Amino acid sequence: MPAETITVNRDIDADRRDAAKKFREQRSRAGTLVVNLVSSPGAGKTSLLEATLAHWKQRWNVAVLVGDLATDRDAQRLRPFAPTEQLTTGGACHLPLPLVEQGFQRLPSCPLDFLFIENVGNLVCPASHDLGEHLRVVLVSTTEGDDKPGKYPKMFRTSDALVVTKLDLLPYVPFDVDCVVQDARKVQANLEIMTVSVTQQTGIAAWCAFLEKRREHMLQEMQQS
Amino acid sequence: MHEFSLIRSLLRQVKEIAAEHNDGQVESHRVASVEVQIGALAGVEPELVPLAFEQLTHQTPLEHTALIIHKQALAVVCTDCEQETELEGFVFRCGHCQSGNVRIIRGDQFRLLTMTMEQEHHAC
Repeated sequence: MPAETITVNRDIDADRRDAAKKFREQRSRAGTLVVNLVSSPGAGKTSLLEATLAHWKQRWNVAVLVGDLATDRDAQRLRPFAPTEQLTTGGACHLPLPLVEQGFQRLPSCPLDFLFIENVGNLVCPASHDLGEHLRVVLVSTTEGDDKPGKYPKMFRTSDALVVTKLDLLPYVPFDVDCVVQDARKVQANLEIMTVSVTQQTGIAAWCAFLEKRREHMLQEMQQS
Repeated sequence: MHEFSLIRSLLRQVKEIAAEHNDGQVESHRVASVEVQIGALAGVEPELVPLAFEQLTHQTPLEHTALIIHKQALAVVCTDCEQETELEGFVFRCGHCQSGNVRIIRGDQFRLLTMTMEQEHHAC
């Protein structure tokens, strides 16, 4: 039976990656820094966003897209601070780009300085989905254990920054900040690392300054290109 | 567990390429086999891929298509000494100068390599 072999040699995700690149470029041109927050469930993504928005006191135009399997509980918490759209995945373990784009279309059409995407709590699948963000930030809370980076290498490798949260609980949990830093640096040597406690309001100003600096950097890159 | 969505995407691309191949041909060809490559950091569990492939092709024209999986090791290039290192685990260090300033060059993708097409069986 005559057979013919077709050589394809293509990344299965190529189309999705191109779509993410396009979304990122569009937001860059609009001056919007897109930040994708990822972590396991309960690490404090929503609390960090509340603290961030409270710290900024409307200094910047910010909007939030928040993903969950069900309910709009996180959106309810964030709406007092900024326009927020809940993205409900209906059971899917990550946010896909089309859902983000749909949510973005539903936001009020005003110029934005920052767009936060709060991903579904999961250290596995969201690692494989580029949502067109400029900055991927992974959160690890002190109650989760300091051994996470080595166990979830893709998530930490693909992140630009690590925020260690719930620092106020350090006296009560066996968590060593140096251990998590060392483990994370094995996976991603250039990871930006910060520590925060939302309840004690420590580290929030430095985190906000980091975001502002990264947006400034993005704007400079835009001007140069 | 996003292997199913990835296999759905793979199958969509296989069908498109097969349709393109069959376009204008006198005898239509079936996809006898599909060869894929899964990188160590692709975010895809190679053990789950045949299961997803089997379930998603059940009672479709691709039901009897063979799936051939090649695993690919992770490799990086050092931005300091410019040498390549194949990684065994997930410690991202240059094997030559131990620098952490490395860039992935292979092993973070799920690739469709080849498709083998053959003439349809005709029952006598």
